[in-house]
Amino acid sequence: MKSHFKFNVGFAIGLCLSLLVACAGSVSVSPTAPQTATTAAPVNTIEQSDRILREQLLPQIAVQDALVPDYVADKVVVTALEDPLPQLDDYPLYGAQPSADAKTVYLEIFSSAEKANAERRDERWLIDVAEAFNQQQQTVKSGAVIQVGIRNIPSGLGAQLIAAAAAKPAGYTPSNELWLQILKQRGTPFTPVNAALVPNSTGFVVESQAYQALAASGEVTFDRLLDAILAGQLTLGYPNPYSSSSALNLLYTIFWQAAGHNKDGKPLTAADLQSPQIGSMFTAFQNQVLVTTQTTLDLKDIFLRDQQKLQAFPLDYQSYATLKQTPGFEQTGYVPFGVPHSSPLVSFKWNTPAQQEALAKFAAFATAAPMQQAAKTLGFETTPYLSAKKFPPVPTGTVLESAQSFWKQRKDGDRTVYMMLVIDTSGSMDGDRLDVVKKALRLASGAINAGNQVGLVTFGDAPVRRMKLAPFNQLEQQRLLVAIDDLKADGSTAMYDGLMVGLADLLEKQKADPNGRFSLMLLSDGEVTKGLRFAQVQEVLSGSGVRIYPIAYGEVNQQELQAIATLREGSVYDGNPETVQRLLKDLFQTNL
Amino acid sequence: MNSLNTRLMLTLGMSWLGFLVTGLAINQVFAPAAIAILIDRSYCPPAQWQQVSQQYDALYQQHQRQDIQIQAVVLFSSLANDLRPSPPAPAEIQGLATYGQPNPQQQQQLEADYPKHKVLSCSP
Repeated sequence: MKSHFKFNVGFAIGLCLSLLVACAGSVSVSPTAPQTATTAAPVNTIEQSDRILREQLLPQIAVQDALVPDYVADKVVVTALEDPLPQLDDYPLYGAQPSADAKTVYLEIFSSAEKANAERRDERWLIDVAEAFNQQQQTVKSGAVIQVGIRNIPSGLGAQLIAAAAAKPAGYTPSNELWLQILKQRGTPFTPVNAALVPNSTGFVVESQAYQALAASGEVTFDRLLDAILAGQLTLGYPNPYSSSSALNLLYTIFWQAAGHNKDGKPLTAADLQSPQIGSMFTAFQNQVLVTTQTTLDLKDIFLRDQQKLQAFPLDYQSYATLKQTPGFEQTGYVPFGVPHSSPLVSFKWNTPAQQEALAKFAAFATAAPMQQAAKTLGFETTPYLSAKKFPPVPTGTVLESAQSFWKQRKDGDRTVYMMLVIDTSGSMDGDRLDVVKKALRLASGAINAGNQVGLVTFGDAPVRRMKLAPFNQLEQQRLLVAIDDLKADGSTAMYDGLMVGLADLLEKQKADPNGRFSLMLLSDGEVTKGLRFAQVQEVLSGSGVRIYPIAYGEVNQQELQAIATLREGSVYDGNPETVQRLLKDLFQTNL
Repeated sequence: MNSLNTRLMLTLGMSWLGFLVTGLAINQVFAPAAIAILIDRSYCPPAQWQQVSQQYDALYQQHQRQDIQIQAVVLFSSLANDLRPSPPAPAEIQGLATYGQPNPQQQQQLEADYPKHKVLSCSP
């Protein structure tokens, strides 16, 4: 009996000990648990990001160096590459298609997107006008039937194609008259057909609280909004002024104000741009710019995600009228500025007399009451701003091109821009895919401002550091060109390993220059197949303070790239061999 | 006894009232001058802005010592006015970004609105 009791107690103790050991063992069963645990905790500062990156992530990465020595770079001859023109076929043609029928007078009209986007009900007014016009089968004096096609192309790109004689549309209707002045300056004469197809203007969409704060002390005018921006009270974003009508108008209006011409009513001159008065205002303005994007659509996305960070961005009034009805925008304010966006229509000297006559008939149809009424329902309204007619005078094309160059040279103020290029060279990039990217990089390298710092890291099986961040000059451009030529596709896709190596180099620079602007362009064409995963790097990216521009160059994990972009007020850019040249040029133009 | 107390209280009360009235009168007669400071924030080269901010610093110190009374500070530019009901710290003025053209019309208007003022500007 006694021995039976001892056995029971011993058995119970043994059982308890076994359970304890089993439980304790299970805690450390997963070899990946410590890695995940280290990066899953919130990382709030750049210092924390840097520490975790160096202590925990970089030791897991086998980075190689393939830097280009000075004597090799020095031998390269840098030749200016010609800016590629946009491909016309990338921009859709709506309404009637071209016809060789002698009994038809065909008109192709280049139109800005806010009135020629068939994908959106509120942005397809001119397409609807053309379709209604085509149905009427109107004729010219000779009896030929007029048919109209509308090509949706950004105003700036349309002007670029027409000025280069790469396209000869019958008509051109940009958002505003500024592009016509640029066209005139580039030696392309035109004849006005109608000064304003529809009433419209542009202005700033302003986040609710910021708008209310300004409204508390009176009417919110552009002057007051600009003053608040210059005083550091608001952050903003705007698109590339080389292609966006609103951005070009904004740039011109700021310079015009800074030159004091809002008091004397005179137009801006190229000489004005040399004055410290304009330079000082532009520097203060740019200090408040959170992001410069390729399109307004990117700004809308960022604004919807975080209105506290991006508090204002420019948008056409007609787009705003629709936008204000969507969730997230109901409480926003709108502050108009600049020259009207009333869609002037012009014709060209290559048109036949029948086409000139047909264009006039189309313009008369578009500006007649029924079509104008339809436009009004879409937000094309004669607002109080348009009625007041207190606009800046339209400057010459020379001044506008000088303003664009001024923007490109001075947009970073006193701050240095640091950009790391992280490029996928895995096996799937072999052939044309990598060749096109190399060509795009060569071309885009011409858009880097001297003094800004650019580095290059590639990744396949492992990351390769090909160019360290250094102030851009002729030698660095030569070095970049050699590095680009050396790129070869091979191996798997260790994307996050490459990303972390690029990030580490940027954070090293950040310690020496906390006031710099730090960004990383990530181009990848496939799923991550090797090395670190998103969950392991997410918090480090988030806390790094580095803005990331991911380019989805094929079948990639869009969700992950979107998550990376969202960490720092960015967007994912869709690239393919046809568009990557323009995309990289745009990114370099706006960010470097 | 009662009448003595009443007269004593009356004398004491009148004396205190006299002190009070005299004090108020002195306060009114010798009050620090109340002025508005109008700061022109149109573009100013950094070295000259340093001088402007030093002038403001001197006025701010006088205000702290109650030698003067700064009733308002108005920062004005070609775009808008920024009225500060209480004087900003000198460091803020020193760090201000200056930009754009001077605005003489606005300056004249402000000078009319604030008859007792001091203009700080680096424009001639």
